[in-house]
Amino acid sequence: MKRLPVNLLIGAALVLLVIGAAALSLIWTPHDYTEMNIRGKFGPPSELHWLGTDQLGRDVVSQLMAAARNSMAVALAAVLIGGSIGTALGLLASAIGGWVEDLVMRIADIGFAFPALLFAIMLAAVFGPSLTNAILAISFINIPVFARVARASANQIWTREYVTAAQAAGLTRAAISRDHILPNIAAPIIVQATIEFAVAILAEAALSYLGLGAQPPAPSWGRMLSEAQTLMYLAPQLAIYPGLCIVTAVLGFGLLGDGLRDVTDPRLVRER
Amino acid sequence: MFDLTNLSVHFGPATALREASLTIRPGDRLGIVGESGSGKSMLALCLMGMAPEAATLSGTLTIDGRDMADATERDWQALRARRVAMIFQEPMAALNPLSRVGDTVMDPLRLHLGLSKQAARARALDLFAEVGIPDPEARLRQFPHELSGGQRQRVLIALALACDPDLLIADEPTTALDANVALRITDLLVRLSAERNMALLFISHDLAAVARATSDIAVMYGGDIVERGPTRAVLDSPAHPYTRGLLGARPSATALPRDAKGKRARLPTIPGTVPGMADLPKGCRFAGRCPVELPRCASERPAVTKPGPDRSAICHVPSKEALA
Repeated sequence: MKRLPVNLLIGAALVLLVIGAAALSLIWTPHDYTEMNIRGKFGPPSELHWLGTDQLGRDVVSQLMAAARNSMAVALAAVLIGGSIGTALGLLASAIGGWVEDLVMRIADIGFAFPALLFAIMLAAVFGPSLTNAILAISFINIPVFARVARASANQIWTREYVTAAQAAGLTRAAISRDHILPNIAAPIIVQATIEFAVAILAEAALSYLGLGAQPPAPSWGRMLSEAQTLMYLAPQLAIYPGLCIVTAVLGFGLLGDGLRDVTDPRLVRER
Repeated sequence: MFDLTNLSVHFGPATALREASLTIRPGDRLGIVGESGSGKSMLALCLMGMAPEAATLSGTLTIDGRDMADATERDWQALRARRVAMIFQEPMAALNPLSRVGDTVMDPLRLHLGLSKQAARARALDLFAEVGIPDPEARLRQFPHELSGGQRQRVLIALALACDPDLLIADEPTTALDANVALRITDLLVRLSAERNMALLFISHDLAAVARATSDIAVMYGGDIVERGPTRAVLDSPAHPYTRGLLGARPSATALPRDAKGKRARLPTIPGTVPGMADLPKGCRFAGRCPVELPRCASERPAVTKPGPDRSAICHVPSKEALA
């Protein structure tokens, strides 16, 4: 058995931690994350409140766990929606070729030219701040990324002899795309999805921080961060905890994606 | 019935196929031999309607009397698998590594014949049995890497036979297989052709395999069909110097003779290499490598000579023995 790359292992551990916390929050948190206790505000870490309480006396651990769930759900939805549409467009472009391929790819280039986060902010600003709009905005910026990866990988597969054999068996280009191309480009798509997951987590945090994502009382690391900002001198830990969570999640998915890419495409492994 | 008349394929100024004419009738077993780059595979792709997009075709190709000049990709898709099917040189490369071989074979059955999953499965089992795959039930669920080279080629033959084609094109079907397996695959193709009255276009550079598999032969060089005729007659008394060269360059099991100094003779070769598609001589394509070349050969295209019944050769100096 080949040794797995270190970044894959570290990434997987961090991702498991975040997903574990998010999953656990569905059935159990130490406290109700909305439960306020003004008399117990800014509480220090204790047996009852492991990381203390915030300015309204809410349990920080419970909030962080619930926010993890929110973050995962947004990222998952955004990557699934954007990834499906983008992959479908990439497959289509590759299967048809010619001016259709050119058109799809040039539109994707335009999508790329926009700073992704700025674009998401613009969409959220136009369609109003809500979690649904945040998901749609992040999905949208994912489309050109997946279209490009899918199309480049699919073009390689189209030159394979088994595709020629499938054509010789009378299969349509649509059937070949579905039965032969898609399964063979799954690896780069999954790698890309993992990396985009990290980007989506960051984008959700940023949108929520700006008030364009999760609305109170829905928990979100980004919103916790923005609320804590005004209290930086009073209780800096309230900003540090959600910040650490964001770093952990983004780093975890980023490392996992890089590690998966190293495993699935050995040509890209850099000399150590 | 497949009929090619003066079919040419050009890539800009380069010629991949020059005025090829062939007729393939049900049950025919036609061999095509020639070196790499002689146009064999291009001819096969034209018959499948799968010539590269960059190619310009001229001449006519008719299938059952229908002129395919204005056929669309959709028309061709309807013909492939049902009328004309193809098997490939590299049985590993020609199977999707991520598909169970049963699914690959069932694909055209469901698509073209509209069979249900169960019916397609039953038919795939029959096909596997027909092409001599042992334990077809288990094989159906296996992936290509779990099969041997010979088994993979049998799977591809089953795939090609799925919709009962009139013509099976075998593009170097035995090149990637070891000799023993190659013989059995060759015999399988001959048997299937006879049993199903299916025409077989057997493309190879292995003269022994072609001799075993076919009743007629076309020798190709530089995009030209240089010699045609019944396999036995052509191989017994080749008229074209290129055919003679190919036969002379064939290794045999008996040792080559020693010369006066006791030195073992070398296996004869055809001097030079096939020129690129764009650098072929205007006249006879073989000019420049031909041992019996005349000054006019490079510039003047030879007329067709008839060295015997049903035979033809394009050469200014066809072999005297063949003509006799």
